[in-house]
Amino acid sequence: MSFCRNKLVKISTALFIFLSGTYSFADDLFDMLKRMSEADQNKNYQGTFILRKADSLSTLRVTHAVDSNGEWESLESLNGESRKVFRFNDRVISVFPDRKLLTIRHTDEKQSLHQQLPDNIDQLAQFYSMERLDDDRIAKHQTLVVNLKPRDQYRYGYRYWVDKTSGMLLRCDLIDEDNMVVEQMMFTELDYLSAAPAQTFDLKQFEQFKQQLVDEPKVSAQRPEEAGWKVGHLPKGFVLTQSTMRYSQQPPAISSNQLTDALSKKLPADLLHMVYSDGLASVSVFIETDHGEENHLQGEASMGAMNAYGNVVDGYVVTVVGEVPAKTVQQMAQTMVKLPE
Amino acid sequence: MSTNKRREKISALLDDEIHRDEIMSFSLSSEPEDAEVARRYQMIGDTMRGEMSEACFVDVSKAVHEALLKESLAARPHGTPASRKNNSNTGKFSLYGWLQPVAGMAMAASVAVVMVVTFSGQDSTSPLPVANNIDQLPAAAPMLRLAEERKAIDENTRNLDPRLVNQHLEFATQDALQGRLPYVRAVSYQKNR
Repeated sequence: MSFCRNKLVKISTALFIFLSGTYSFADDLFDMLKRMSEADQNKNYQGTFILRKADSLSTLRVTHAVDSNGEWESLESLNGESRKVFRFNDRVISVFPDRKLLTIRHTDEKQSLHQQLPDNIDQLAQFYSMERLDDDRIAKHQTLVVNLKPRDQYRYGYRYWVDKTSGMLLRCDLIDEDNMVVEQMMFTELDYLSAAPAQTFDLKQFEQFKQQLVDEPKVSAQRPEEAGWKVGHLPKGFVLTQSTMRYSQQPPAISSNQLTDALSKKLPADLLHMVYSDGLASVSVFIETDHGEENHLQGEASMGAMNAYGNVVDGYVVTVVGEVPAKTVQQMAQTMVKLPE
Repeated sequence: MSTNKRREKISALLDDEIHRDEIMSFSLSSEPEDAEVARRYQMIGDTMRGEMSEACFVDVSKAVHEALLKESLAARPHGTPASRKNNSNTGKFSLYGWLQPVAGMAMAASVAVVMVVTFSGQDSTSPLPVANNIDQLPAAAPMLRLAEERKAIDENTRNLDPRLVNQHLEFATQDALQGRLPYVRAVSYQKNR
């Protein structure tokens, strides 16, 4: 965690230096980014927010706390199927009260509870113009509003509403090329707490629930040059940030007293997952052998802000998924090239 | 028809819940204030959805279009010219002129609203080629094409492997600039599966 914080400070400083010569609001932006990242980690709070996509609206209740054992977070869906998700350090525990079911999953060791600023953040200004908009009020909190407008049509715009006092991100809009909001997260209620509300994180109440371990089998990281694939026409600013072999088949959920290792050894890692990012938007490229199944994606698909495009290249199924415009995933999928071995 | 009943029908029309056989008879008996009611309902619907989704309205215009097309094929005398001029010569409300101010974002929705207004001014027994009015709409054809494209994308989306989406949400978006959004997306996506 301290590594992450050091990295955060280092990157934030670089961003500050970069921006200070260009934008008059660099102080605010630097402050915003730094505090936005840290606020989530260090504060105790409870609130309700909405997540709106093109065709759906979800309301969720969040409780976050830090105590001597680490970081806790509880997320509860207030509509649809009753569900609670707890995150405790590296564990994600999903509770389905209606089914009396509890699933446990361990997150990637390298993945902290809170995301870190991207390495290529200093390049953001090349692909997004930044402007500060008029202050606003969200869930009774005064916010500063920053607009990141894409300089081309290969990425969405982002608009942030950040609590001026705490640095918490209270609202985030994704804006498409037609200036329409394609996804929105917004707090409707938020209270900062002086102490961790222990009652919220009491898991003993679920002791009688059926428990399942749903860990993914361990994956093997791959060096980019070993991936054997590249995007022919990669939109400017996107760079390869991850290249990993994963499993295309879901292992069955097992009871928590069984070992996952035995299972994972039997399964071949058969899915190449490459991630490209411009520092803000991320695009996944999945490549797997074409087994002739008809139900894999061919052409365009869309779910709210997320677009996907499927294509077959040299006997492999290529699926590109990301919170970017359709044009971006289509271009990437259609220009995938298998490198000679 | 009582006011409340009419409002229910307008609401159903905008929600694409009115049977296509009813669309014509309802349109023919509409009142001038129906347009205002429809517009208000449209705005409420948009506000509740939080946006103007073109795709939501396209099906309405398509249903209207198809119903009218059927009707006109039965009613139109051979050789009747299919022109806007013909319509305006009758001294009735000009559909084209009505549409122009509302062209843009809510074009397809407007088609449904326009239908309600337009036919209130027409003689219900007139054999005017009403379908041609729709054919004249500058917006109708592109909107129908958009609807077809949207339908194809929606059908395609069913073939998108949810495991790939989950892996993308879980592993690809790990930067702090989106706050908790990637995680919430993942939870929300699983919830909606």
